[in-house]
Amino acid sequence: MSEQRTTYELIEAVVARLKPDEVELLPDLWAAYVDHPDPEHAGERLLGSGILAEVAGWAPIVVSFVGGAVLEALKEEITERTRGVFGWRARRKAKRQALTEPLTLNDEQRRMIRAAILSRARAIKMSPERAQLLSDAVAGELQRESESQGP
Amino acid sequence: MSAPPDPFALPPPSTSRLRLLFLTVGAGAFFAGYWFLVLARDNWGAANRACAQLPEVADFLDCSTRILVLQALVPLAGPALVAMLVLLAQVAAPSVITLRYGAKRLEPWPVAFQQTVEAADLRSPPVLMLSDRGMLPWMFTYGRRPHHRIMLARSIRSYAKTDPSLVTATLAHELGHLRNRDVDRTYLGLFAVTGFALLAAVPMVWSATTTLDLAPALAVAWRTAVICLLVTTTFTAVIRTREHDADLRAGQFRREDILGLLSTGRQEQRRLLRLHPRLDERLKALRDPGRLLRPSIAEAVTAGIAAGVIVTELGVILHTVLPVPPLVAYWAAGFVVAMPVTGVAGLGVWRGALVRPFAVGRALAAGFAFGAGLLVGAVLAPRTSVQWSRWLAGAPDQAAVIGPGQIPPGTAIWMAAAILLLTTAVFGWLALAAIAWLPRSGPRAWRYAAPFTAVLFGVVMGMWFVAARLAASERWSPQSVAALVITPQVAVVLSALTVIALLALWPLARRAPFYAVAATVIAAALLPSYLALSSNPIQVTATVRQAALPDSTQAGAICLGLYISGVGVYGNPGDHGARQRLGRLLRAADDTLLNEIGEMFLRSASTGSQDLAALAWTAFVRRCDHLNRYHDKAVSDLPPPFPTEGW
Repeated sequence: MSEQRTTYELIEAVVARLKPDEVELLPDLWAAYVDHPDPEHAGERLLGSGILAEVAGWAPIVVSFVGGAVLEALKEEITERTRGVFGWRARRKAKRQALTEPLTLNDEQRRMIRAAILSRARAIKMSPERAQLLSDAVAGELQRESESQGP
Repeated sequence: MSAPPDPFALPPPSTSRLRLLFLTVGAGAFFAGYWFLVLARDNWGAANRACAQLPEVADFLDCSTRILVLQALVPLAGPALVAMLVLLAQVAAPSVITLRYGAKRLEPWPVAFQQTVEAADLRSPPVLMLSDRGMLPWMFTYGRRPHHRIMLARSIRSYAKTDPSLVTATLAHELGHLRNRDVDRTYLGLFAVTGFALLAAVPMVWSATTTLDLAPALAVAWRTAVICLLVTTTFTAVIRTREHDADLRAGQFRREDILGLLSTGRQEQRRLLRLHPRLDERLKALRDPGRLLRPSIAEAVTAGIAAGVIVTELGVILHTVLPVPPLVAYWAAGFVVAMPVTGVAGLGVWRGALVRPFAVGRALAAGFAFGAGLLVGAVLAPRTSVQWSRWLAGAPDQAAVIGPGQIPPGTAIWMAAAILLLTTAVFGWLALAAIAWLPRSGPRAWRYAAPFTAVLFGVVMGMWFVAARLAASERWSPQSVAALVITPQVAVVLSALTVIALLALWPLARRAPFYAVAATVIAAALLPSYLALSSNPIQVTATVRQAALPDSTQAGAICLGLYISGVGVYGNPGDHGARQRLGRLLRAADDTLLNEIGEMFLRSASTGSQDLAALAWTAFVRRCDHLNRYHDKAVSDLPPPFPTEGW
């Protein structure tokens, strides 16, 4: 059985599939994301421009989507870790830990990640083509991981 | 094809709507101050009881006047408290936002950012702050002038490499806000809404529902809810309009980028109320700015409602505080409100005139809508739309209830028609003035038109609201109300204003002869009508069936008679016989102050002094009010209306 990948390595592999020249942007984005992994709301911001721009760049989207989807899939484990502990700092620490540890996903969690990716794409009104492209790239990497983990 | 209008030739709509927002918040906070500091404190029962015990009329009048003046002034604490919170929040906001987003200065700036900021040609360039979070490409402006900042999502440098035109378009939009100088104003508006909700609306509804029965609690709650709705919709209107303005400004230096962003972007998910205009509307406005400049009927109605609420509240206060005749006090109230109203609704008409062809009909419709808003505001104003004394024993009745049931139907119909016609006429004049002067002197002519328009609005609103209060107090006929308000001196003022307004339209004679003739015909019809109305004798007794008090020595019975007959017992001006009868009756009453007031009436009748008679009347009305509320001598359940003091 090969070595398990971390979330960052999964993200790196997805970005490499979608747009390899953006891989170099990942370290900075990942550092910021790990510090603030709470999902960004897609609702109207009172003081913003009110526009969800159709971006060509992939790196921040993949970091945010895959990171968020992984956290959603590992929700039960994170809840278990923070049981009896109060405060957002403890929850954030648990999330950070979940994001930086090697991933051990079961089939159900992989399915959840794919579903969460599509749901987030819908929330920010990403075009269906781009959403499908992202979903396929993530699914491909998860499949590769599943195969490397073996039965 | 004519050149598109410059959307920034006159102050943009977002500025006007912000004035409207402050006006509405002020009105709501004013009533909250009145609620907590006067109504909910038993109308200062102890102090009033002390006044009622005084044996001399002069002392009683001084004492009760002092209380009324103080009660008129203390509600200012409401708006003052909201203003304080707004200022504190405004001072603290930049540091709090920077801290909340863990932001640090962005150094060095990407070249595209540098070029875009330079293109915006700002007097004081903003500081770009990089947040410690944010994977979507958002930005927003904050800070205080001249130290504005733009907060950038952490991912923005990444997008600057992959989507440079998108990032520069978003940055240009934010710089557009800075060019329009709407950042400080928007935060002030946001804090005003928050302050109003936290310090006025929520505590008031909470206080009413926990201390009153269901009916009065509902009366407070629904009026507060309507004012909150007005405040919220006005705020969202400000927010939406400023986005259009920022797009237009950004379009001046990054047109292709901003068009691209609006064409390819998607609308953020709407929450309860839409905070940004739809993208298709934004695109249309960017391509045809004239769409934003047309007079808005909704804006006119909202301005009318806000103005109606404030003039009603402010009129009662100034009438109590200022040592001037009621009409002058109401003119002052009307003028105070007229200035921001001119900057909202009046400016809207002039902005509309920048677009060719100018729809005069739409300006007239806006005037009609403004008048309708004033009517709604008069009925909605919390202080005067409810007979609070029905529920709160100590509540004063000085502010007559301006409700549909309180004004005789004939008078109500005439008054409604009058305000609708007058506001439509003022808006019509504004439209014609714009047609006459915009081509000749350009948008700067507004500087001269605005003060005169404010005077027109102030006179119209002041006269109408004092008439409404009179009509609600005494069940006057339309002729009597008109005669009371339009005295010969007032007729001179109105004639002078009409002539000045007509003379100001002289360039129309060459430019638009049809409109010039129409304006002359209307002015020619108005001038003799002022004279006719001012020469109409006041038919006081003709409008009141029972004009004599019951022949009794009991103060309670006399006061009941006063409440039923109202000012009819005072008689027509110059009717000294009525004052003599009143004086004799009061002199024999079983209350020493009423005896002394009776002597005053007799002296006024023998000397023919109107001033002394008016003073005695005020003392009589107040004494009956005190006897009822603090001595249990008079009737326990007073029938509205409350007789008017000082007329």
